[in-house]
Amino acid sequence: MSASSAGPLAGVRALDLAGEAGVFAGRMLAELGADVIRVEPPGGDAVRRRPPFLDGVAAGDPPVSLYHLHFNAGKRAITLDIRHAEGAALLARLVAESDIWLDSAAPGEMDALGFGYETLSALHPGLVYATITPFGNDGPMRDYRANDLIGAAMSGLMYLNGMIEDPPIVPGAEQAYHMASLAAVSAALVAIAGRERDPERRGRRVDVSMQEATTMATLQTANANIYTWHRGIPERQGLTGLGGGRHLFECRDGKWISFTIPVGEGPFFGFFLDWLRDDGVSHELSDAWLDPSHRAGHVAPVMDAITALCSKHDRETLFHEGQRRRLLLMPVNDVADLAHDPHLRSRDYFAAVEHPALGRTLELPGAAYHFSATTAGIRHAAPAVGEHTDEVLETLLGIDGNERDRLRREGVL
Amino acid sequence: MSDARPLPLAGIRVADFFWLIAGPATSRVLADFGADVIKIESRSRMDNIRTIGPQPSQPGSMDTNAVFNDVNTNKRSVNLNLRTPRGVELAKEIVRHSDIVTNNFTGDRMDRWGLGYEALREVRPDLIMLTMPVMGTTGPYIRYGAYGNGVIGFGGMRTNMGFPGRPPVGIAPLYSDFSAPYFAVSALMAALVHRERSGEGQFIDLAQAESAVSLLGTDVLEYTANGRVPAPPGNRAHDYAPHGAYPCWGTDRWVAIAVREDGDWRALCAAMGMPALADDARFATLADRKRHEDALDDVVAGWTRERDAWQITHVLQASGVMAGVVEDLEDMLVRDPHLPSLHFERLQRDDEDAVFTTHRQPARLDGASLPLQRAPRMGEHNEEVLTGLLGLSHDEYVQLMVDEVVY
Repeated sequence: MSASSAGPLAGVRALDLAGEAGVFAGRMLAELGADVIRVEPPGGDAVRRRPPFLDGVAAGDPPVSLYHLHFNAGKRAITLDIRHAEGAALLARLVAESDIWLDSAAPGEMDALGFGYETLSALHPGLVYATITPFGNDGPMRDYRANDLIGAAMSGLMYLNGMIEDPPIVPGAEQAYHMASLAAVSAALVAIAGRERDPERRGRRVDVSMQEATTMATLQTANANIYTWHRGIPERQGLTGLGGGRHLFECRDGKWISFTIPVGEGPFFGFFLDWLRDDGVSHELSDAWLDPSHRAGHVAPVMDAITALCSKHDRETLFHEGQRRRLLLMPVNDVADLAHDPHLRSRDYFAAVEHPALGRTLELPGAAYHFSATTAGIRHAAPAVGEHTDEVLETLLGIDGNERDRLRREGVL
Repeated sequence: MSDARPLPLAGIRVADFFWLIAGPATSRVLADFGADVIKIESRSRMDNIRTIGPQPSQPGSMDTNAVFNDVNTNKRSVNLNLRTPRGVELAKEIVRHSDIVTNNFTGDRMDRWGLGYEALREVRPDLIMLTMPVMGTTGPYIRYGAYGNGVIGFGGMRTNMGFPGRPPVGIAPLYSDFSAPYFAVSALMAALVHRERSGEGQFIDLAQAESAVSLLGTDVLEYTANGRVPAPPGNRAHDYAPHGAYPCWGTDRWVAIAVREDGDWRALCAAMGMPALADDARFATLADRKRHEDALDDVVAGWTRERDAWQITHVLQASGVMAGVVEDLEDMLVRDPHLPSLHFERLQRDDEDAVFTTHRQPARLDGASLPLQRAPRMGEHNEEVLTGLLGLSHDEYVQLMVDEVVY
């Protein structure tokens, strides 16, 4: 099978007006081959100015945001003052050329600007209009504000993270924003797929609440029925793994490993006992422990045996030997481990893209999926402010250079 | 209007070999959006998640546990023993009538049943097949397995958060089981759009571990471009102060507060009844507040400590300040103004006492929540699918049960 270099979404166009809560959604569309156009105010939007920043930028030059480089990779960018009447008219014309609208404005804000769903779907009935709001478009909290931290807190996800004796910890790298973006992009693509099969090719409105999207991540650890059936309230998970024991252990080299013996029936606990014996680890586990019901009441000796085993070996040795023995060991990696990981390298997970203005190659997370007939991936670096304004206005709207000059003079572009 | 429109995936059928959580949570999204998802399982190789999870009472049944029910709404269940040649034949017949095939087995499990992509595309040439094992289908770790707790560790989601000097506990167990599904649905929908436009199906190899790495944001560039592994930030953020969880009245009660703009800081000072604090030079600008963040956190915590977390949330939000209870499960189901009525849905079977509560999909379609049906009982749709979809006679169906093919 040889894959076409085009992505599976080649021919699909998205207008990306999302702020930080939704900027990952557009990145995924770009990865999947859609033409994603960031629509920013003249001078660029706030996403471009978020820390952290790239090192090694010449003194006096403006800082370069890693946030922008990561989340806007693979997109095109135009500038347009959509609060200006002519800018608004141009945006409406771009909507007519697009399949997906993506924003994360506060409820009612786009309506006030004349870009509500009713208006845009009347203009373009095939449009899929996807929005992310903190708490949805209705209900008593619709006007409450939330960034990622508030989303993680009010979804129930934050309460579960950390050691019980510490305060709850917000997930790393803004997972409430990521869950909201994931829910929005997947539902928008469901709507596009549905539209392809609809003889009338009608679009849809897709609304995602960041709170609800992030709540999905609590479905197992804090399943609703734990409370409704038994009045249970799960606490912070700490080192706890499945089945009540811990699953995070420190290895001989000071690195950490996740050590899980598959749950339930099956030969797996025997494989673990074999390993202890082969390795000469002293322990008090007899064959009685092969019975899961016995183990359930005697967790501590198992944990002691794992601790002893882990303290004898480096993390990499444990990882590969454990997996060879069909036990579910996984390293607790940091980004340096990941950047050098042979498995990720062999799958070409990381995308190396040239950044001409910076004169360097950037290595970014790539696509988590491979397609056999099409190609997913990040095709180019995040765009400069307005980098594609001329190209987009020329090719999509037929606006010539003289007209663009005038629009620029008047502050529309 | 929207009521009259079929769901977007109506008419799409999925032959679903997923098991455990991440897989079924993926096909649940497809089912909720209207696809006919036929969950193929067997007592000879049961979906283990039927036996792992909270039960309404003990001993539980394989049809009542909460996690199984949560990730399998709106599906049909068919029992086929794939250790029998006839079971494999019947599975292929279901594939012939399907648009999508899904599985998350590690290694070559599907190939060994004769149900690999090359075999199945002979049955259905425009098939879309997704396989989403932890490590994908190529590379040196191809046979390595893990639950979500291990995927998170591999994917870097334990070292990128937390407080200095504490063990790398990271995000709560199994996070990837609930994030990877949306990557998978997006990939499947992209392939479906491609098929609708070109007539061409394809194979999708999704590595759950890679989907976790894709959620690390700027941390990868911090290393590949800046050459450093960022220190876990605790509850702080580069461009906010204050930003954290502050203790409230009661046991283990916390409120999250986030302030970025100086105007929000002045609003917070006023709402705390300390307007003069806005003039304190230590806290005047974001840069000032970041420099004096320990002192800043002490001031805020001093105000929150004797107050109710929900009251703080509503008071601060009324002043335009971002604040929210660090909700526990009781908050989510009882005290939250949105979730109990807008997010959770109660589903009860006529012959069961227990009321099962499930999550709605977070996406609303044309302003409405997606309709939900209880997850299927083991084999609930055996007869309906085998005699209906596949057109077997009743006698053939009975014989398949006797032969433990339908098992």
